[in-house]
Amino acid sequence: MKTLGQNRHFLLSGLALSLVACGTGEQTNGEENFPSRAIEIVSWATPGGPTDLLSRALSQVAPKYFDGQRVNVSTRQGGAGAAGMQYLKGRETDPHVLGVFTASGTVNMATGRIPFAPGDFTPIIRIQLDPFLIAVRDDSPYRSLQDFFSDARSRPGEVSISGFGAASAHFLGFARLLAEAGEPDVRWIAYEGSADAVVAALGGHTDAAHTNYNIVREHLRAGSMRVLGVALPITALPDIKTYEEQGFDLGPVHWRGVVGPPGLSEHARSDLRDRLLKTIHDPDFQNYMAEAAMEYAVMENADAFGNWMAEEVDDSQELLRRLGLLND
Amino acid sequence: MTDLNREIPDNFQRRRSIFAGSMIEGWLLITIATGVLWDSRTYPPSLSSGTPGPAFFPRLLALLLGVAGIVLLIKRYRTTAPRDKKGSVLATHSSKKPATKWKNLGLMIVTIAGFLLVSPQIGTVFALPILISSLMWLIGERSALLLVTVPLAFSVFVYGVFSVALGVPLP
Amino acid sequence: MSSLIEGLISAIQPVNLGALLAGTTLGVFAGAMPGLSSTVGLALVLPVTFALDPTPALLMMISIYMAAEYGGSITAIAIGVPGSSPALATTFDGFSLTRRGEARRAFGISLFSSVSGGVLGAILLMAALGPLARAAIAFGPAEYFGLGVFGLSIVANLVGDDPIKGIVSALLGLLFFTVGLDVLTGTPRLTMGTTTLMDGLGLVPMLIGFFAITEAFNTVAGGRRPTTQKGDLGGTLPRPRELIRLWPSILRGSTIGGVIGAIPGAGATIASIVAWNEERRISKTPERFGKGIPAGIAAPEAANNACVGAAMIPLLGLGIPGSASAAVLLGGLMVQGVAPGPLLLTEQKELVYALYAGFLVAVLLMLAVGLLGIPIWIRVVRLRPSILMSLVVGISLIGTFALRGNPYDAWTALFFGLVGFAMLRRGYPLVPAVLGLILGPMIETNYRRALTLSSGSHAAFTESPIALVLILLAGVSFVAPAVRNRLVQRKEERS
Repeated sequence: MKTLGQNRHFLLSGLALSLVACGTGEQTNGEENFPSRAIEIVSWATPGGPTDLLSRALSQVAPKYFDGQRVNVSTRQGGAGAAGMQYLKGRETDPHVLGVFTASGTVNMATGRIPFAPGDFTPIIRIQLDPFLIAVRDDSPYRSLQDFFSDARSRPGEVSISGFGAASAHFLGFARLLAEAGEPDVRWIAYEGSADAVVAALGGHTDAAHTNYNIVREHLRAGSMRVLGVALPITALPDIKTYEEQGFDLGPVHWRGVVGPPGLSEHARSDLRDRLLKTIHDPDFQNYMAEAAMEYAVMENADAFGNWMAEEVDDSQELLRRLGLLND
Repeated sequence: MTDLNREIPDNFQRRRSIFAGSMIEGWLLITIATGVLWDSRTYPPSLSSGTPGPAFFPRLLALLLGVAGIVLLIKRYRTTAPRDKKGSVLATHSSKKPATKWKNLGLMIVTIAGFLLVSPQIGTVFALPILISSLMWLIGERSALLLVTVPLAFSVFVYGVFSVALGVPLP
Repeated sequence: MSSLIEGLISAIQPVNLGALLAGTTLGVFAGAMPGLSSTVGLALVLPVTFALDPTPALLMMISIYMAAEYGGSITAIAIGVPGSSPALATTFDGFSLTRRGEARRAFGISLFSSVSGGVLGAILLMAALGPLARAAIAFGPAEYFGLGVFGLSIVANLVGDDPIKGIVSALLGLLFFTVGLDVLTGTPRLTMGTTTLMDGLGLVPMLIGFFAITEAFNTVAGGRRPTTQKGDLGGTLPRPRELIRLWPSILRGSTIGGVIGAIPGAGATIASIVAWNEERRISKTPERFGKGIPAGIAAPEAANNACVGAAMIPLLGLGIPGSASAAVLLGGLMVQGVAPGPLLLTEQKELVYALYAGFLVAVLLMLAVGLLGIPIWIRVVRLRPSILMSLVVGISLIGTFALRGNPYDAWTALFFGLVGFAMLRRGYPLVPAVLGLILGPMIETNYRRALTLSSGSHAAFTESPIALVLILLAGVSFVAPAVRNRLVQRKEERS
């Protein structure tokens, strides 16, 4: 089995989910003359969504900086990302396989939905921040976060906000803000996606939407929606006050970064980081970042990135426990 | 349910003894309903008090399925003699069919499951001809030429379309 | 109008025409392959479109979307397996015609209806982008719940001789839907402690299991030695007069597709089944539905293609993807620097008109590909059953894997194959279970959402006129067949 060609290996490795052993140890990890074959970016995110797009943008720009090797995105969805992560984890010490990790991943780790921990992957580089924000329809009476929360306090249980998922990164982001505001009774209406949550607010079914900038950008430009507050400053929204400026001392964000399989050597890790840094500084990639309305937040210190992930898992667990959503 | 390989002339008689009409369905539905209720005991309440939580819908379905199961059981006992002999209303229909060839069915399930198990090890493109060939044989194809050429051509086609043209990695 | 003509001129530029042609071909293929769908087709070309200019990129994507909705009907008619889920309703009458040796007629009707539906959907998009986009968001949790219940009421017409078996089938379908993470609380339900079941049991594995694998099981277990079909069993293409007579059905189907397609999250599968059911409801001969009546192909096929244009309404007008395919399309557009939303029509007029024109050209290309393809589809129909069935099972298993890159989906398909076989053997219809899986999320999630918003008051459902009408209609649909049967029975008893 050691002499298998590259193509054959490609075919072989597919069912690694059911047979984890298959991907490991059967080939030399090729660290010596990296990259010795095509790079694979495993994508477990919704096709066309921001995370999937990041993977695809990387796959377009990266070949230039990976000695001309092809960079393929392979879709492995299922199990709230577990299918893709399992595959990545199974490719131990192989620098040719990468994945895009997000805040949703750490939250799923915290809730115990997926049986992984940050240590199961090698953090390489954090690329984007996608700060949360709270938006309302243009005819809403709210002008600030204070308006929103004070209305919620005067009408407990009647003010609603729509957002992506329950016990999700979005939900926890809002729960943190809510805690800071003194826990008024706001109804969180979970939707299957951030865009659906915005539709609900736009249609007047909920009072506000908890989402990200790229989803409401066009509605802000058209004036059909307004932003009450952003978690962290957004370049394109210089006039909008942050949570902190409105008296809430926190800045919950969604983020995306690249991780590798477990057990990558220091050398492989810094090599990958350098190549990815060059990739994201490429004008084509910057172009994508601008179009996708993402904020650069490069964290190139892999250890810092790893710690950030681990901390987020712990923080989320604590919050979930406090909300009674985690019992272990 | 003693010896399944024994040849029984009246095949239908044996079927009745194993699958006594809608009995098995009734009990199966009640079992499923119980299982769902059992699973739902750990579901947390809704995030907002006074509204249905995650357990509401599965429990409702379990209740309805359980009722359906009981109705099927009662129907079985209440159906009149000629119907009762055949077990269920639909047995009349199935009795017209030729006897089920359980062996063929079993072989087909094993073939497909085997394909799913083996393809990650030897590669889909290599496992596929075996699958297609076996399926064709099971369905009744006996032409040796077709049993060899069709599966091979198909595998080449699949490889060309998925791996080369579309870039979808196959297991 | 002049903008549209400019758009048309742009669409027939070599690059754009090439993109449209490539998209149409790939779309028909992706639609026809069980397991692949318009979403998979779009996701596959997404990286390719990055390298193109916005106009050809957009044209390629819409032509894939459009052609895939037609492509699904080819498999539905040829072998009775929906090539993609919106073709589910087409199997009812399409495959029956094929079995009667009139495949060519069925292919002709489906192509004509798909093309007409596609054009009508595009016209709807051009005529009413702004207003319809605003109307679509009026659909809130209560209205979605109403639509879901209304869709489920179709089960009453599909139950066959034994109502309880149809109901059990629908309940099982709803139960299959509850497997996975609950959207509203994130609770894993019926996952048996596994992560693989967390995203639930997919619709595509279910369709493949129920239609492709179950049929293969039936063949071997039934001991039917398949006969080689002799002679030309394709029949003839429908005559123009027949097609013209189908026009009312096409119009009704397209209207239903246009309305339901514009509602985010409802989608082509629901639209085509509703179209089939409504066609049956108003027909003078409802008993002929499901047995190869042309209107039963025309309405759902017109509906699912009309949905493509309609799905662009929330996408272009609000930047809201109303379906999984539209979500991929949105991703592709954003990378191109095209930001759909309220300002698109004023700021990027040229591109929008190129898209309108692209729709019309894509539909024409679809007609051409379809006409050229019919002889090939006929060949598929006339393949030896042993070969055809084996290849269908093979391609289905591979298609299921390609869908999400998850090998577990193929196991799910096998599971559903066994469930489907057992259900059919015991006389349980399969389509109600499929409807349950499709409509379950719409019904449960929105019921609970509506109650959360109203603090537990059921007035939420009666206060909304749309929801109330839909729920009442659903009630009528549930009861009507039973009442009709009772009346027929009484008549028979008297005579």
